[in-house]
Amino acid sequence: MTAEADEFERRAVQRGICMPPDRRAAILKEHEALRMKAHLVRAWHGAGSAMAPALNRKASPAT
Amino acid sequence: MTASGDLHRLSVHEMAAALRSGAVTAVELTRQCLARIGMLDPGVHAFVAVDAEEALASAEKADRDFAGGVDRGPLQGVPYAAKDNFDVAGLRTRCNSRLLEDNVAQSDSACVAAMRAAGAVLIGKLAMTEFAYGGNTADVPFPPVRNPWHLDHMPGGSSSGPAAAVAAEFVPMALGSDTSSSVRGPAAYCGVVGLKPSFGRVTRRGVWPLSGTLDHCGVLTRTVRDAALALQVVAGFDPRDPASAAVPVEDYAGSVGAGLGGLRIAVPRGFFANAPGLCAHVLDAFEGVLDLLRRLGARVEDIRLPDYDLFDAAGRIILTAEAFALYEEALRDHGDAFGRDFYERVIPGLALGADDLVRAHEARVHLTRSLDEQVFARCDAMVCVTCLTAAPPFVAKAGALSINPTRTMPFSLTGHPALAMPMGFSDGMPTSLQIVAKRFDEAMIVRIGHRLEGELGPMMGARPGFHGGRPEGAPPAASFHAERTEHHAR
Repeated sequence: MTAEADEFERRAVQRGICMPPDRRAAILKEHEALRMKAHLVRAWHGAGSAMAPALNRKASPAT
Repeated sequence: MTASGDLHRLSVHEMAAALRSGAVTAVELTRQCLARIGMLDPGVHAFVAVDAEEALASAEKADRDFAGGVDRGPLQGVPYAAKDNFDVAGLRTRCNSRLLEDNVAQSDSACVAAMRAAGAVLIGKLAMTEFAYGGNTADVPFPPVRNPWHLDHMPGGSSSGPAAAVAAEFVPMALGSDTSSSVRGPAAYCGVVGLKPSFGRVTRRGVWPLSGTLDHCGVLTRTVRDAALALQVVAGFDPRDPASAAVPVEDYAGSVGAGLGGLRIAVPRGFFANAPGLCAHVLDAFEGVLDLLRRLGARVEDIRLPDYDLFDAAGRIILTAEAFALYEEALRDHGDAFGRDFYERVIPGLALGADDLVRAHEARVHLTRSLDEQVFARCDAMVCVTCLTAAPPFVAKAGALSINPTRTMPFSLTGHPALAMPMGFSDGMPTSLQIVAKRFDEAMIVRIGHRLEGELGPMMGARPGFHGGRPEGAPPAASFHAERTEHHAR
């Protein structure tokens, strides 16, 4: 169990969403896949988007 | 003209001609469809409801109109069916969900109303995956749809019923919806034509939503010309759909027949050429299409676009966030009523933050602009594969639909029109080409698709053979029959 998965389950409980034991592993797998996609978009946003504020670009170690 | 027993093989265009020449009546066409559905659909499961009584009444009306000199256009008297997320007054809209068991529509969706006004004959409602985002698991109301080319293979989703029904020659056209691939993916797997128009081109009013900024309505047919004829009827501005665009509707059917000489066609090889799992037969067929385009006078050129993965990531974030927002209350209060695939795919949306969604929409703007500036500023169209593979066999997981290896999300995200059409075969299963054009230039993809189809033959000159048997884990074919007549207080 990763901290990410813990945090996800905590949020689910907070919102009243049930995590049935027989679905839990699959949900966490989908969550991880979606998290990777969000990470990819975040990386694009920070690195190359013309819409990213200059402050973000300056903060990036790559620049 | 085919023999009367082969009326189901006619295209929409051919049916329209036969009806006007008096060679056939709308009632004869409808009876033929109903008979074929009754005979073969118990093994395919494309239909969830057949409204024979109402269909025959509509057909009789179409025939009376012909006799009285009333001609509402090429769809008059032609049978069709609608995916079960389109409202039809008096029929249930169930979206393959246990939550909608008693959900009787009070009025027609705008597309069904347009088809009705055009005189088309609604045969019934077609199967789909749960709320257009689930799988074909055994925990939803209807059994998995089988692929008519081989009953052991997947039909794709979510418009599995529409694609299978058109491929199986139950109806010559169907209405479907497409949020990330749901018209084009099943069309590809079932070897038919699937047209996802530009975002805003066809109203979604009365269609059960999944993702408000990605949902499109589209059409599935066996020929490109038929797709143009169907689109002509459902396209147009609807002030009651907030996404509808007030852009003039072109003469789509009129655009077929034009040559391809001088057209510039872009190829985004980075979208698929090095993708894991790309089938060699798919690539071979695609290269054959490029050769054909060159022989027909088009200029084919490779182009570079942002990574496919960025398109897919932005699209999945938006889709999942919007679907979760739409279904959160039901997921919380009636979680047990959802099939496991829909539940498992949508629940992760709860972890997406506003920042994720904002970035995804910013990526969407950037990627849309990339297509407009890097491709459509200098090219007339773009072609790529619809799916990396042909339809795979059902997996062992009780008939579940695994994630499709589609290459369709980019154009759902950007709203460009895209058409899937057959381009070859891989071990007897169809492979599919995707043609994309500028926004609201559906006429261009129809023009290119029709010309290619003229060389390749409709459905590559082949017909599904209903090979194979019962997929492992799926219920026996005889265990399910679409309701033959379902008619509530209309």
